[in-house]
Amino acid sequence: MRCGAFLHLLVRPAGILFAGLFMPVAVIMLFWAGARGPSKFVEVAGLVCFFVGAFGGTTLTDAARCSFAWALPRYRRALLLEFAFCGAVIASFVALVGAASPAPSAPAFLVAAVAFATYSLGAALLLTPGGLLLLPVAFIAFVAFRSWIPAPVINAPVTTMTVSAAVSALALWPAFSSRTFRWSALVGPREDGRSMWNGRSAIPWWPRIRRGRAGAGPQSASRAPYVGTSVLRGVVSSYRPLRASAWFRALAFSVLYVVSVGPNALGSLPPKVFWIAWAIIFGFSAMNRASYGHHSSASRAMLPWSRRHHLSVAFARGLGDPLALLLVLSPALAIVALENPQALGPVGRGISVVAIFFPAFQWAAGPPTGGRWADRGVAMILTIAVVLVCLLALRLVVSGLPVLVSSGAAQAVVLGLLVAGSQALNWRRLKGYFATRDLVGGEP
Amino acid sequence: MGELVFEASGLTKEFGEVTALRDVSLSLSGPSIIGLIGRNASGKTTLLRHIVGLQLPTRGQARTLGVATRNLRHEQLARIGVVPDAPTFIRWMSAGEQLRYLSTFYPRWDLERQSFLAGLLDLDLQADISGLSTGSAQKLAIVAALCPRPDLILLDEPVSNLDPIARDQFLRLLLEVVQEDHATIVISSHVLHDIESTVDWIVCLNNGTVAADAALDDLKDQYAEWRVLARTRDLPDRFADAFVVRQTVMEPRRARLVVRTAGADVRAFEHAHDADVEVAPLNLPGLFPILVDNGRH
Repeated sequence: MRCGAFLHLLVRPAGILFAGLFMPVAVIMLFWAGARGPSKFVEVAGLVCFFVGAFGGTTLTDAARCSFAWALPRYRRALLLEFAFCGAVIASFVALVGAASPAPSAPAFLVAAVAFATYSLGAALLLTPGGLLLLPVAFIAFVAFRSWIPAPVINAPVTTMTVSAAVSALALWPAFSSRTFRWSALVGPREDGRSMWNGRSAIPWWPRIRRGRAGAGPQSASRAPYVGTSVLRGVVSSYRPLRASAWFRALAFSVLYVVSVGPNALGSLPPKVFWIAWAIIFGFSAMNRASYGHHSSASRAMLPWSRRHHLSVAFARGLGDPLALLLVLSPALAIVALENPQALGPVGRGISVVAIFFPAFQWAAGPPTGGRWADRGVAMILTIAVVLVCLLALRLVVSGLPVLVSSGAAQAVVLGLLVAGSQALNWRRLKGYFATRDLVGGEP
Repeated sequence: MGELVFEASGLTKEFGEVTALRDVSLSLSGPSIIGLIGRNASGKTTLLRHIVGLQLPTRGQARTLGVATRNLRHEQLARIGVVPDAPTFIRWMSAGEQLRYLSTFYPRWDLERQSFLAGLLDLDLQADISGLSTGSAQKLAIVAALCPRPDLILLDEPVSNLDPIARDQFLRLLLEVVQEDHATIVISSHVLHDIESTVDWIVCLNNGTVAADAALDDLKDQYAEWRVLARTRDLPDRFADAFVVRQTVMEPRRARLVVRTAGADVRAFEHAHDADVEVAPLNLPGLFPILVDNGRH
């Protein structure tokens, strides 16, 4: 076990698929960024290595949850050494790509240091219990990094090396600590509540917000508001398992994001809208899956819903989420609108694109029914692939649509048709799942 | 003749290359308590999931409460209570909040019964779900399944994690539920000693096929245990009588046999082997290996 502890975990269908799909895209992105100068290259190299590290973190999380992992002698140390070795190889490879790019590049050792730091950070956020709660902060840090930091990164190599080394150490230390592995062993797959919006219920310091009186007794009459086949009531009930704190965090995140981007950068608003939409899609697709997931598996057996009702609720939930998302983002949108009323056009297009691609993100997260297809690793890779396609489409629609279709009415028609088409496809896909698949997992 | 609650015809369920249920044809009527028994991976959980429509047949038909399981609607599902083998709940809620949440989906949720059951099973409604022990989570699932006053209750290993006191209370409770609600209960369990005193019908699965489907009393009448004691000479290593189903020669002069009562003549056996025979009824744990063997043959 001491040799190949981490590599053995990587060589599985999800790892091979990740290497086969993501790495070629990453290399293309690196070459593209290299041609655009050293700052862009450092930024993209950091992003690529973050995703690679995050995949490694997911793999290690699965391994750490194995009941035997905690007791394996020197297991953590072996994993840490091999993980760091892999990181060094990847960082060196990224630095080599930078050196091979035709445009002047940042020093290779600087690129490698930043790449290794983001690689470590990606793993730490996934592996450390509760680390995903910091993902919004990491995202904002990345946006700030790409806006403000690249030039000083290149111009101050000593500081950059020091900071990168500190970040790497600070990330890897908690990720491979005994506490991480102990907690992971205690939180089994059935209790998995990992999602940046729902948080980890195993975190002792996270405040608990109770809704209503705890422990309803016989005195509190059951009003049974969700009885019957009303889809609307079903959707409302599906939001109920979301913690109130999740909504507050989403709200805080959106406001924090706009503040960090800076309302003074409104001259280049479309790219900002682009990044806001990216955050929306990523965050809300995770939130939707997590909340509807509470109705899946064994819990689904406890709800007296027909398959048709499950289908209707799942579809309506997909339609309702952009509205819920608007609600959460309304303070951030208000800030943008107050600063620059002309920005509302791009914002509207951005939100439309979110509505168009939202079903695709849910598709990438796996089927809402049971079945073995929904392997998390495969779903994650699909998500990355879909994210890349959607980012491209988002950019095209937000910035390119006015070039193709000049009038506002025509734009609305085009976007409306796209929304309707995507929802029709989504309905067909969900109908297939709920009509033919088992509602719970496929084990005998 | 009671209400037909579940009917399967040629029901087959495949998971890739694994066949969990193989051409199962079965009718379950109520009110009654039906014991679903079988070895590990014999298809018990899969059958229960088919009854409630969580899984769909690969081939064949399955109907619950008169409706094809694929088309079960709110009206039928509200009449079914389920205790899954590994119940999961919304982890951030307390046990009471979870019950209150579930109660909002059922038209007949009985709050008095909720309070009674929580007290009977010693379930703390204030406790956080995340902090519940496995046994307490099982108790919560039992309360959640019984409070809607369902007509059909599916229990998948409901007593496996209960302490002996809670187990005893729960099994007595089932009898009360059948009497009070005229419900049909299907209980899957490996704890045969416990369910023997409760169930009146047995369905035994083996390798995905139905090995037995009969009233428990009828099954007991079909088989008996003979304790054989030789009078003058040693007993043979193996009895060749056709009605002997299972045999254990414990000592040269003592043996324990399980026999099929049809065609078994005690006097003739005693005479043939020069032995005394003491006849004893067979209990469910004693019947189980025979039922499984029947399925295998």
